[in-house]
Formats: sequence, structure tokens, C-alpha cells
Amino acid sequence: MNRWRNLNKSELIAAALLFALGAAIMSRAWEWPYLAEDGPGPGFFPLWTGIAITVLSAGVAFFHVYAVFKQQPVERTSWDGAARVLSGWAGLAVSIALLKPAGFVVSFLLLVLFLVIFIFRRRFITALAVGLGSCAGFWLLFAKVLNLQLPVGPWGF
Amino acid sequence: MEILANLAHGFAVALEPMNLLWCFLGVFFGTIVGILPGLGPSATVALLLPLATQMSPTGGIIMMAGIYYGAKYGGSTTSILLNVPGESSSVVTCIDGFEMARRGRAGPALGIAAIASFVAGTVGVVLLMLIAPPVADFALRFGPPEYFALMALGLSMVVLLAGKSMLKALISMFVGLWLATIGIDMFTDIPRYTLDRIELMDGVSFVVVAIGTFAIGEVLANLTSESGGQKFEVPKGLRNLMPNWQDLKDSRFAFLNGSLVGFFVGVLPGAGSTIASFVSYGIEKAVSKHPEKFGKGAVEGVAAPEAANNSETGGALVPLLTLGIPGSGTTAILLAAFILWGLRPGPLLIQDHPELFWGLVASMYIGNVMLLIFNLPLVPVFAQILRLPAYVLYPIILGVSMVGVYSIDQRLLDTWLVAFFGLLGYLMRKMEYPAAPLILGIVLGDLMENAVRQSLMMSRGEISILYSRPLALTMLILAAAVLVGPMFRRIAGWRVKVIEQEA
Amino acid sequence: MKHRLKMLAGSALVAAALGAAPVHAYTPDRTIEFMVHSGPGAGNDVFARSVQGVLGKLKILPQTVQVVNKTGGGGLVAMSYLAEKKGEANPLAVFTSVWFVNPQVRKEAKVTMSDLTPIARLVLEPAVLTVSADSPYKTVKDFIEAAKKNPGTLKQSGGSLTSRDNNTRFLLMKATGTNWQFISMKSGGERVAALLGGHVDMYMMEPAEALEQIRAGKIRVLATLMNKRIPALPDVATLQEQGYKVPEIPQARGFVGPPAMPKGARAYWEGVFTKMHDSPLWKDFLKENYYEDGFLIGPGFEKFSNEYTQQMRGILKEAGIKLVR
Repeated sequence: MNRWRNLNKSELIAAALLFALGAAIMSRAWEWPYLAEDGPGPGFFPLWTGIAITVLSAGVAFFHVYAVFKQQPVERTSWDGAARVLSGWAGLAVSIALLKPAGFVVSFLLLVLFLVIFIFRRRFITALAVGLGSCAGFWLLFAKVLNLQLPVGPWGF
Repeated sequence: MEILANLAHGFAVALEPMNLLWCFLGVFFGTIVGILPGLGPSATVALLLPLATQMSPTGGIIMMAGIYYGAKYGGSTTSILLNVPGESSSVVTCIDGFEMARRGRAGPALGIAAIASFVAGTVGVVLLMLIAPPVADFALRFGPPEYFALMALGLSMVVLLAGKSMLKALISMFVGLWLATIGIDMFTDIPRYTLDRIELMDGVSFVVVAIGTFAIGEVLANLTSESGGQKFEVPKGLRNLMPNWQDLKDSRFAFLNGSLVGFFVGVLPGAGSTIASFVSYGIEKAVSKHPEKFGKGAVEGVAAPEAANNSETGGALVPLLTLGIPGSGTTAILLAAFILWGLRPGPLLIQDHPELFWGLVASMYIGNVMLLIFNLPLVPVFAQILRLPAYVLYPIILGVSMVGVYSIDQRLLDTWLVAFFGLLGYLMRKMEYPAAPLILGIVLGDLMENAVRQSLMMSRGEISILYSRPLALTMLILAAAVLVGPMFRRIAGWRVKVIEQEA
Repeated sequence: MKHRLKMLAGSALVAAALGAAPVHAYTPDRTIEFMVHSGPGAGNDVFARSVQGVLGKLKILPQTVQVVNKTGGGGLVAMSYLAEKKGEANPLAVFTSVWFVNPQVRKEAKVTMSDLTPIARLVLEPAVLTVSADSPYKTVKDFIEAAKKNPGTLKQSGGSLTSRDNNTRFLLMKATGTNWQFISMKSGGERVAALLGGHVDMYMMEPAEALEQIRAGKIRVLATLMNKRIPALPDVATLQEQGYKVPEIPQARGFVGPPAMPKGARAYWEGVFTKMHDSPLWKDFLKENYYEDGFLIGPGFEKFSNEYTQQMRGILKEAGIKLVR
């Protein structure tokens, strides 16, 4: 019976990443004055947050390993559906990248179409309805009524 | 009593048809703005600045104040229904509000939010009316050491937001504190963590982080389910869509707590309504007889922060109207409006322009009543939003988030950041790192660091300045109590267990 | 013969007229943007809107003006954005002293004032040195004496290290051989509150703010920082008059345009602002806001630009702040 069966790799990876973040924070903070004339300098706080993050994340990793070793119940992280989430996020990222060249309305429309068709798996016609409806609504409310400055593409909206 | 006479005069002004119209427009608009995530009252008031200059000062300030407190009413709507903070101070309402919605109690949550907002908004106006000048003078006694103590009190609340893993909550908080240091250090002009980019010189806006981790994170987390259909059960029948008597009873203390904390924190220049909501939530949980219910849909967990962020508007107007000092971002814009109207708010504003002050006070009463009348019947209507299928709702949330953060500063960087924090929010949910301490950290980090460094500069390195002054000391003791209190409970719990085992 | 002379003279006249006319006579053909590097409600924003208001009332412009906020980096984002519009006539931007100073100390800055097209310097902002009404210092001399007795204990609230407050403090400390603390605070509200609450001993504030506080009896004004007395505070002597050899550090506001702005556009705007400056509405505006008239265009403005940059570089270097260019 392998007691390490329950080891949650994601938990350890997350802790490791945070540890790295803490270390990076500390290494930059080191370059700045720790103490100024009369009090903490610009390096003081960042350094301590870095230290805290490294120590605590090591603690998280340690306690997890310890709990698994002692065969106590631990959380499992389920990554079901992560692929869909990441594709959805990728769609968002692409849409943002398109904001400057294509303007908000077009980018958002594309995002809606992508999400409804590929992630939510609805028919194209539904996607179009939702997309056009929401784009029109957004444009009316934000650009016209509230007069916000949204990114505008070469086609004037 | 002079105050009553002045108030009567104020009502006469506020009830003039034009002023009533401005009040109505203000609160209506404010509610909409509050509902839309990302757009806050300061952005809207700023947008209307050009329009306001064409209006009479009294009408203009009535309208703009209406937007300000109206937005606080609306901010809770999306927080409760969608876990998306409508307005920066509504982040705390998400915690219990969304849980209530998930358990089918969206209606009561919205209702309690509206009622708490009304009670606290009214209390805020009453306090503004009665004790504004002495409170303003009291607030002047808050120097950097007192701000530090207040921030320490705020941060100690992390203990109460922790949930399962204290370690993870602390990590979240420290990451938030670190995010707050990004930017140019005010005291030494050194850029910190800016990667040599101009856009990062001013740091990462906490609104971006909040919307990213809460709104976009929520949407992403829900993409895992295939259906895309309706998310929750929305109970039918009006009775189930309103808070019941038990809810109101439970929230009694929360109303009081939120109103007072919100008002006093609002008076302090620079403090802000987000801090007020966190602190009142923390106090509510700390004094509750069943703290374990918080985070799982405790109605007080909605009532307290909602009350706090509404009475904060009354508080924020105190330094503006009694000393000419803006207490928050939105009041700074109000100050600009005053200047554009040719008025200079200062200590003599109330004396010189009583119709402005009393007219505003009276209209705030009226406005709060209007908002209650609006919001309560609309509660069932809003609750129906939950019936929208996910494939309509979620893209809209994403869109509003993008518009919202872009509207802050018209920077594409903010949209990238919000997407990044969205992904981070999803990962945090997966790995069970709570998001609220992150927000707490980023909101308080800046203020706390500045307060410590300012204090130590003032005392030339003497640390005792931080705890020797009575006000500061009181708050630090409270902070310690908050930190240590739960531990006592746990220890008491263990002792009971041990005794039981031995018996 | 005579006929030919006339023709020659005629053509010479025409040629001269053509040569003297602007290369392209410019009028704005779309909405004019006034870009501001602060958020809505801040000093710059109010200034831009006031200018917008005055121009609107004078009806000299064929198009409407829109105020656009481009915050970030202490003006650097706005400067970058303006530099991207090279060769165009729109937008204009409101500049303040930080446009001169920040590019000298921030290596992220890619644009300096010398890259942009100067249009007009409009106002100079005075400032006054104030203490709380219950402070023991009745004159600047009292304050300096106290500072000499206890170096480093007195406190002044203010903004960033490169702000005029701090530069003036540095010059004053140098001239008197004393020193006192500078406590940076984020917002003007906090700085005034710190003074009123007795947490700091001195603050340099704008006359408009000061006047309200004086009326309420909360503060005492000890000196004015510029070389000219402020008309609304005729009894307040300048630092120079009180014997302190502290050169004035002008805090200017005005308009600049994108690099390589078409000559016609620049001339057009210089004309507009000259007309605005000469109008009684503008004179009222200056008076209401306690600004000093600092109107400069063309070579006068360019000279100011250079002198001011050099002055600031000198002060910053002496104060120990690193210059990156």
C-alpha cells in the first residue's frame, strides 16, 4: 500500500511556484535600501513580504507532505474541465489582443461567438443572437449613453 | 433647536421640483453604475463633471451625491447574484452574499442589502447633520500612527477570512501586500517591481485585481460544467424573495456596526469604503455567537459590509464639507466640481452657504428613501437574472469587466491585468487559496506601509510612536484581540474535547 | 518701361505676400482634445476644463473641446501618448512642472519636453508657507530658529521628493544651514489634515486653499514662495523680501503640442491663446484662482523651458537625486 498515493502534486507545484515568487521578490528587495534615515526604507516591506511568502509556502508544502505521510485525509485537486477553462481564457486573451486593432465591439463579438459555440456548444444562430444583442447593448449603454471611451477599430466603432 | 430649523429649510430646498429631479436622476444613475462591475461612483461622477458645471451648485451636488450613495446600493446586486463585485467596496459582500444565493436565498440577500443600505445611509446622514464638525476635528487627531493602527486592525481581519487553511490565507494576504508595493515608492522615488514599464509606475489598481479574481475567476471556474444552462434555483413566490423576520433580527447588530464603522472610517481622509466593509465584517464575525456560519451564507455577513459602505458616503462628506478636505477619490471629484462652480469648500462652507449643506442633507434623506423604494421591489426582478442561461450571462460578465477596467484609465494594460488576475483567480479557487485576503492585502498594503514610514519619520526612528498614543493603542489592542480571540476559542474547544475524552 | 517696372513691383509684392502667408492656414476640423495627465477632479483637470470653459464663452473655436485624461507615471504616459501623434495638430496637452522634471529622473521616460512643440505658458502658480494657527511660529524666522535649535525634528508635509515643496525646502535649508523632515503623503487632503491636526509643523499650500483656512482662522501664512506678492494676500511678504536668498521655483502650466506640429497649427493656437489671454474673462479667471499671469509664447517660452530645465537639474542634483539624462 503506497502511502504516497494521496500526494497532491498540484498542491506541491503551487507551493513551489509561490516559493519561487517569494524568492524573486526578496532578491529584488535586497537591492533597495532596507533602512532609510529614520525608518524602514523602500526595501523593508517587500523583503518581509517575500520572506513571509517563501516561509509560508514551504510550510504549506511541508504540512501537506506530513499529512500524506501520516495518512491523514487530504484534498484532491480535480482538473476536470481545465482544458475548457483554459480555452475560454485563451479566447478572452485573444479578444483583448484584438481590442486595439479591431475595437471593442468586434473583439467582444468574436469572444461571445467563440464562447457560445465552442465552450457552451450552442448553435451558431444562438451565438449570433447573443453576440449581436450584447454588443449592441454594450455599445448603446457604454459608448452612447455613458459616453465612455472604448477602444475603437478602423471601422469607427 | 437650530438644527431642526435648518433642516426644515433644507427640506424646502430639497423638495423643489428641479432638485427632486436631480436627486432622482442621481440615485437612479448611481444604482445602475453600481450594478455594473468595474464602473464605480468616482468614474461616473467624473464623467458628469462637464455636465455638472452647467447646473446650479445645489442641484449639481445633490445629483452627484445621489450617484455616490446610489452606487453603493447597486454594488451589492452583482456581488450577491454573480460573485462579481459591482463596486470596489462590494467585494466583502460577495463572500456571504454569493453563498446565500447559491443556497437559494438570493432574494433575502438582496433585500437585506437594500435595507442595510437604507438604515446605514440614513444613519450616515443623521451623523453628518448632527456631529459633522466635532467628528471632523476628532478625525484630525488621526495621524500616521493612528492610520497604522487602523490598518493593523484591518489586516488582523485576515484571521476571520481564513476558512480552512490559515497558511494559505496568509499567503494570499502577503501576495496582496506585495502587489501593493508595485510602483514608485513615494518616499524615495525608487521604482519597485515596475519591470521598467511606465504603466506600472503607478502600481496595480486593486479594482483590476478584485474584478479579475472575483468576476473573471468566477466565470472561468464555471466553464468546467458543460451545460451552460441555468445556474441556480431561483425560488418562486415573493415571500421567498424577501428577507424574513429572523433575518432582520439577526442583522440588528450588523446594521449598527456597519453604520458606525462605515461613517467613522469614511471621515478619515484616504481610508476608503473597502476598508470600512472589511472591518465591519470582521467585527461582526468576531462578536457573533456562531462565527462558523460566516462564509457560508450568514445574513449578517451581508448586512454589515453593505451598511458600512453606505454610511461611509456620509462620513466621506464630513471632511469635505467641514474642512474642505476631500476624504476619498469620489469626494475629491466633488471638490473639483465645487471649484468649477466658483465655490471653495472650507471650514466656512456651511456658514456661507447653508442652503447647499442643508439642502444636500435633506436630499440625502429623500434619496435614501427613493433608493429603498426602488430597490426592494426590484429585488425579485434582479433575482430573475439568475435564470439567464450561463452562455448569455458569462460572456456579458466578461464584457462588462473589460469595459469596467478599461474605463478606469483607458489603458489596455488594465485589460491584460484583469485577464491575468482572472486566470489567477481560477487557479486560486482550484488550489483553495482564498481571494478575500488578497484584496485585503492590496487595499491596505499601501496605506499601511506609508503610515509606518511616515510615523517613524515623524518620530525619527522611535518605534514607540506607533503604540504610545491612546487612539492608536486602542486600535492595536483591538487588532490583537481579533487575532488572538479565535485562538482562545480553539483552545477552549480542545480543552472541552480533552475533558470529554477523559470523562 | 514704366509698365514693366509696375509688373515687377506687382509680382514682388505678390511674392512677398505669398511668402509671408502661413504655409497652410490651419483651422481645427474635428473635436479638439485637451489631454491632461491627472485624473478627473485633480488640479490639472480643473485647469483644462476652465480653459475649455473660457474658450467656449469667447466662442473663438470652430469645434468643441474635449478633456481627455491620460493618467500614469506622473505625466509620462501622457507625454508618450502625445509623442506618438508626431506631426499632427491634435491633441494638445496641459503641461506642468512635472513634465520637465520627471523625464530627467526616470529612465522609463522616452520623451522630454524638448521633444514636444511648445505652444503657450499660461499661468504661474504661487504657493504659501503656512503653519497651524496654534503653532508657536509667527514668522519664517521663528520657524528657522526652531529648526536650528533642533535640527531634523520639525516636520513639513508634502508630496513627492521631486515636487516643488521639497525643492523649495531643500533650497531654504541650504540657505539657512538648517534641516527639517519632509513627510510625503499621498493626497493633498492628508497633507492639510496633518497640518491642521498638529502632526506636522509646516506645509506649503496653494493660496486658494490657504485663503479658506485663513478665513476660518485655522492657519497662519508666513511667506509666499514666488518673487511677487499675491494680490489677495497683500500683507504676506515673499521669502526673498524676508531676506532668504531662495530663488523662486516657478510652477507653470500651459499647453504643448505633439512633436513636429505643423507650423500653421502652432501659429493658430498661439493666436487663440493670445486672444484668450487678452480677454477680461481670462483676467477674472486668474484673479479667482490666484494665479500669476505667466503668459509666454514662441521664443520667450522656449527660453523659459531651457532655463527651467537647467534650474531643476541643478537643484535635483544638489539635493542628491539621480539624473538619468
